[in-house]
Amino acid sequence: MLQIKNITKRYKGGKEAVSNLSLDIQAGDIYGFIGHNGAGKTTTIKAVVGIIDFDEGDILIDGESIRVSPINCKKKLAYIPDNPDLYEHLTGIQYLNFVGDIFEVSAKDREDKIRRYANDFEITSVLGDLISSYSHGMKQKLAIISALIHDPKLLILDEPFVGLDPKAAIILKNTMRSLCEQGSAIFFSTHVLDVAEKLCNKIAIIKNGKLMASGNTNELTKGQSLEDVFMEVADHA
Amino acid sequence: MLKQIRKLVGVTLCNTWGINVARYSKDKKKVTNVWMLAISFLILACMGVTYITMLAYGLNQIGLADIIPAYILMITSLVILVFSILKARSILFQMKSYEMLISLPIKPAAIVASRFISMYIGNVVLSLLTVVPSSIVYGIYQRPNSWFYVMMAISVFLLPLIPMTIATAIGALIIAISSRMKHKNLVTIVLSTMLTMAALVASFGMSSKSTNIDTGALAKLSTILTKQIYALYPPARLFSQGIINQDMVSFLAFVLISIGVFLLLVLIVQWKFVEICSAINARATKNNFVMKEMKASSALMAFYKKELRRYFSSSIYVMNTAIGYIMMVVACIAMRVMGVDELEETLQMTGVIHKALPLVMAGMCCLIPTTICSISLEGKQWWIPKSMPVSTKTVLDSKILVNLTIGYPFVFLSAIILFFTIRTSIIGYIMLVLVPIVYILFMSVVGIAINLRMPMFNWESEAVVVKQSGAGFISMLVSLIIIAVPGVLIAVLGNMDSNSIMLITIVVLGLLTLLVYRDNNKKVLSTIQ
Repeated sequence: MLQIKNITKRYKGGKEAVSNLSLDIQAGDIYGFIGHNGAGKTTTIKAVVGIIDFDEGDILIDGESIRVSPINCKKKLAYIPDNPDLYEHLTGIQYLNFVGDIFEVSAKDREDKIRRYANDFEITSVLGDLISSYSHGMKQKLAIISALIHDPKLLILDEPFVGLDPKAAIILKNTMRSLCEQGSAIFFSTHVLDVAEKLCNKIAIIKNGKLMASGNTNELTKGQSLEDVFMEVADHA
Repeated sequence: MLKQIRKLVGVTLCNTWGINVARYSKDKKKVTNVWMLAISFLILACMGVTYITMLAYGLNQIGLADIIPAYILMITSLVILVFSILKARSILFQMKSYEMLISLPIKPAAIVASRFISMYIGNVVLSLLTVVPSSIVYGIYQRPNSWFYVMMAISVFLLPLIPMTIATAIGALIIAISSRMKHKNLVTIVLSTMLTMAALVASFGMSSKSTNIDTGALAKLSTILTKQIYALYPPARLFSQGIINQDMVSFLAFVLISIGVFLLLVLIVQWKFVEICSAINARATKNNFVMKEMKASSALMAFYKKELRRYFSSSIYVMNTAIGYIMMVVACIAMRVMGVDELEETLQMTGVIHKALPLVMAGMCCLIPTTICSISLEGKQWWIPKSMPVSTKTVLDSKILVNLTIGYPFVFLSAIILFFTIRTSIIGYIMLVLVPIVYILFMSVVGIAINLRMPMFNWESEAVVVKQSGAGFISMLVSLIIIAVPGVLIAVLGNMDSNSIMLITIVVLGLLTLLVYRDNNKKVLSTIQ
């Protein structure tokens, strides 16, 4: 579903934020992406979803290059950023409707999905209010709903659990599992190693823009905790 | 506390004028943008200085040298007043950074003072640009003693204080009124527009009286003009008496009043600061939403609706971009009421309206298109269109459509008023609509092109993007050029039909629009950051 092929991203001044990184995320995977602050996780994710350009390599989504067919690629994915900076001058429902229009979700479909997810995340009553009046957690919930209303084949999340209340975090985890059972793929970054260990079937560890380890969670940990593996890889590699 | 104020002012200025970007950024494009901003500002400053120099020279030549100081005080104060009313809301009473700063061991008074000083520094620069050239002209022709120069030098720093005080008080008043209303932004826009129009009408009124010269009645005119200035702006009397008559008591009174009212305002604002900020930032929540049937639209329509809502959510954005259109309609109404000849005299445009009315209308329409900052205003939300399955064309078209939606109704309204006001040929009537329409379209597309090359996403206050961006300055220069070129041609080629010149101009602009539009749509959004 998502193939990251030897991508390198250099920032102005020549510093390599991501160096020759390759990953292969298949349908049904919940792929965790972990690393220190500034390791290159967000840069990689932003390159995958087409927010920033990259210097070398390629990114394929369902076999199509994000550079060659960006619109087709983006139709298949949904992205939730680490900081839910949404259009503050819109109401919650206007934002969801906007996203529904862009992804060409039928009126009936989007209505059903919004009703369902807004109820699950308990934000139905505030959907008529301006997003500027929302708390961080409410914005995060709205961003999650907007990502789910078009049934993405690939869901990309950057630190999705930050700011979510415990119930919302559980609902999100269940939704992620359910999406994967339906054949979608999920690629997400997190600092919460406990969540990654329990939720992900595959994990990649990145340090200074370079891939340090990747593979099935069980094979990677080999009976150790992910925390121990991460510390070992991050400190000694 | 002084150290804290100094630090805060330094940080604000670095942020506002891109000083840190110029010094430390490794991104050459961003550094170039800062320099472009500086050069654009310099060009506009040169134009302003030229205007003031010519104005002072003109007044001197017709024997009204004595009113130069009061006149310059009046103009400077009006400009500072208009520019500061909206800045008060977005810079002085900005809550975002206040919340961050108040958690640090910084005194609230230091935060308030630093914001006033940041605004004040910008206004002192403006004051310098008007006082220095006018003083030089006055000095060359009237040969005043050295006290004149000392007092004028002191005045550079004092002139901004009273208009800043009035602007802040008006800004706070608008906030107080609008915060009690349901449609806060709309009320703010209406009140601010009314005040700006009043200030502009006042300044035009003053100008007309000074240039409508009957040489036999100069002394009388001088008295009338002086009385008008004093009536409109009482501190001008003290200032003028102090400077011209070397009356130390009057000048000292002007100094004390300027500093006194300003300090009083700082104290009041400091006292009510959090309340005012909260009133601005308060958001009404209903918490009672019930799902209803939804309607689907196209991607372009979705972006267009989003853009339109963005536009009307910001009073400073509306005020800056719509003022030209409002002025155009007001001018058309004035023409209907006063007649073309009298309006030409009032606006100091003798003969211009008769010859090139469509061009005058276009000039009012195209100074600041909404597109010039519509990409920058995406700010932290720029990731949304970049990550969505839409073409660059769809995103940019929605922004162009907003400018056309705002501008075209004003053009049609003005044309209808003019249809019943002026007598011209059929071609003349068509030009009244066609010229502004093509100019607005051209500037919409060029606005996008400029903003794509000079985006500014990391802003804290909308005022910085709307009022002080390099893109805004470049746009003003472009619009001045496209108005000046056919304008000069009409003046120089007196024998040639002005409609023909305007027709050639709009054909050229139409072709340029097409080229720039195609080039804009080739841009890849992921590369714009």
